Amino acid sequence: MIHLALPSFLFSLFLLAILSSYILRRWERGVSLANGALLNLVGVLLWRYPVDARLLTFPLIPVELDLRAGIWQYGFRLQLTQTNEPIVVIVLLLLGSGTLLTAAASQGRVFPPSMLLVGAGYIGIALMVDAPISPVFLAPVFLAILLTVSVFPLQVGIGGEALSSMRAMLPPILATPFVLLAAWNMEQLPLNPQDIRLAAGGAQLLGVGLLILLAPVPLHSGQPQLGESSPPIAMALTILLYQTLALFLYFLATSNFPLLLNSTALNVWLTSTATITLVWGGVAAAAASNPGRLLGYAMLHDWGLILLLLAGSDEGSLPLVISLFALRILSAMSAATGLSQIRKAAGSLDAENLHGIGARLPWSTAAFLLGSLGLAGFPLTAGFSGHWSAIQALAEGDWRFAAIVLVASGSVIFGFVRMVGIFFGRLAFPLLPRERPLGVVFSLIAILLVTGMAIAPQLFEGPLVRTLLAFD
Amino acid sequence: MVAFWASVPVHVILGVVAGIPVILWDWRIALPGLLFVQLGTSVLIGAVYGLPAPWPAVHLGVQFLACLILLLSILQTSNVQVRNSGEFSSRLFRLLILGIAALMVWTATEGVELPRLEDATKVLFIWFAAVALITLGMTETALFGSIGILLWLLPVQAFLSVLFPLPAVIVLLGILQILVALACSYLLLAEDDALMLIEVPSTDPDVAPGLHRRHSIGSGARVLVYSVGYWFYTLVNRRRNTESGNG
Repeated sequence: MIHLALPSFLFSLFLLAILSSYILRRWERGVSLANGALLNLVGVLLWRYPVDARLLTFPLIPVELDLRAGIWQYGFRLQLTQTNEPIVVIVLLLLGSGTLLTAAASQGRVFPPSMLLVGAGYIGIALMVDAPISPVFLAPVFLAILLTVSVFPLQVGIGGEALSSMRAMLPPILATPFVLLAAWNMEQLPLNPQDIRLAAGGAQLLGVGLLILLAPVPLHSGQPQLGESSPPIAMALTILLYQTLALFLYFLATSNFPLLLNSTALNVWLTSTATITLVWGGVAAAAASNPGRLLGYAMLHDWGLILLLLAGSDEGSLPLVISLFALRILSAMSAATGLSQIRKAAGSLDAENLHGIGARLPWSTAAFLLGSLGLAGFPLTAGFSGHWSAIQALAEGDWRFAAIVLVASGSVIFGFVRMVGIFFGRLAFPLLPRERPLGVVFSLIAILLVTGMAIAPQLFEGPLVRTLLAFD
Repeated sequence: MVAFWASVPVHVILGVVAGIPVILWDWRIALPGLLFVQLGTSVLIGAVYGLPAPWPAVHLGVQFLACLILLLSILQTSNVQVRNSGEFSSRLFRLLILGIAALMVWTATEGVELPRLEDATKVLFIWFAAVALITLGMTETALFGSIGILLWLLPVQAFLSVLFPLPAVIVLLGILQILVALACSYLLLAEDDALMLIEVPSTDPDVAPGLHRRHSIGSGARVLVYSVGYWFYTLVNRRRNTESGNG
């Protein structure tokens, strides 16, 4: 019987998935379905079993899996804990669903292995509990490395516009020196406990680093540009995986270093940049004619709202931030599901190719529109409950912020109304192929999930409570 | 020796060399310039700040490898526009921007504290970072984007090596530099529309003679000699063209 620690098991699983999806890339559809289902299954099982569960055994396989055991290599310790468990599960489910979706709309044959490689890296960051320097400070370097590698799945098979992929990798690269300099200040504190400047300087530097990592305006440009120039699933996965880890780092940093919120102006910086981000996302969305770019701006608007709530940083805002982010994942993946089908059928996302495409691809179009509108908090979409609660919370503090969010959301919705006009206008290319069965199935699942969460948001209560407990 | 490397003129020379690529906006100047700045910085942190022996050489080696990776992609691109396009405004305007940035760095660094660094080195590293940000702000191509990122990582690597002489930090930042070069060299090829039309591997001239890149490299051993030779040839050729243009 082989005794396996969970990190070793996960990395073995990823290695298997990467090798199989690369070697068998000619059979992309079958391999993607198998790998996607496997990753989703592992994610769900990991969520079901508590971290302190006994050894798990598998039927027919001589392996004992120890969820609590960690691995220790080169000064880095990787271990599943109650805190990082939700992040590991989110990353697994995101990668699993993304890999499944590529079975219906290929993003390029090298996309699945390269994205899985990046995903394994994100799992590694989430599992890191010890390192030569505190993991909170070293994580930005790893994020920079992962976003640099993400260039390959983002750009695979696409020529021409390459700068957007490069811009997307800038925030963690720029944040790295600030965060590591903060680490040095914090490490010196025990040696000079009287030196107030060390603590204050460290907190300021960490605050600047975190702000850059969260990438509000003016560091936002990667998001909408990736929406226009990259395959939709690659874009959604890259942005969501990065933001999941960035938020996790923010929570870790603020809980480990309370000085960060007490003695710096991080909340003020975050409030001002987040407000500009959500307003700019709304204004630019109203004028966007490319659906990918429009989705990028809708995601930017939604991200601005999340950052604005994060700036509240009181006990009440944490559940809101987490629920809003979970609904963001659902909405963005649903939109990417539909958009990837549309892109595959039309050949590109240029507006002139998309006239009347809604008549030929009704399910994909519906998945895209419902998902995207959820990012703006449109009623009867997944994002509505989160946005409504967020607006109420903001209005309690200062009604002007709530008004700004409402106007910006209205602007995003206006952009999608224009897009509906294009999608359901006169059909430009009558020979456009109809939807394929697998694409219809995935679009239907996305629509069911999005509308299900809109009708019964209480379904999300259980996972939310458990995630909150993990962060406490 | 230490006094020489710690002297202000050495710092000024390194600072000027870092700014020249922004003004001339030419990869043939930028890549050797980056290597020169890295050489100077490695010697500086080795001699003046006592970074243990292998690490300054490792920094230089990593930067050399990064530049070589970029150079290989440059040689693979057929489109001259990919290499030299994205030039923001005129040289005079860029010089003006650098001048303003230099003034701002000079005044702003008085309030900035970088532990363990002498004042001159502190100003130099902040200047490198400022030039890197200007390059990133001006560029519209992956080539100069990569040069900007590598120039940003150069002082970061040097400074953090002085602060944390831990193998893990130095190795991680080195990995990041090489991956940045790899990613940007890939983007450089992706920017070349002409390359996308050719389906044969451009490194294999035997597969489809006539279709491969005109600068195909069949043997790995020839890479270095070929690269340096090509760089020198194009530099001389450019001067001739400029002289004939002026004439």
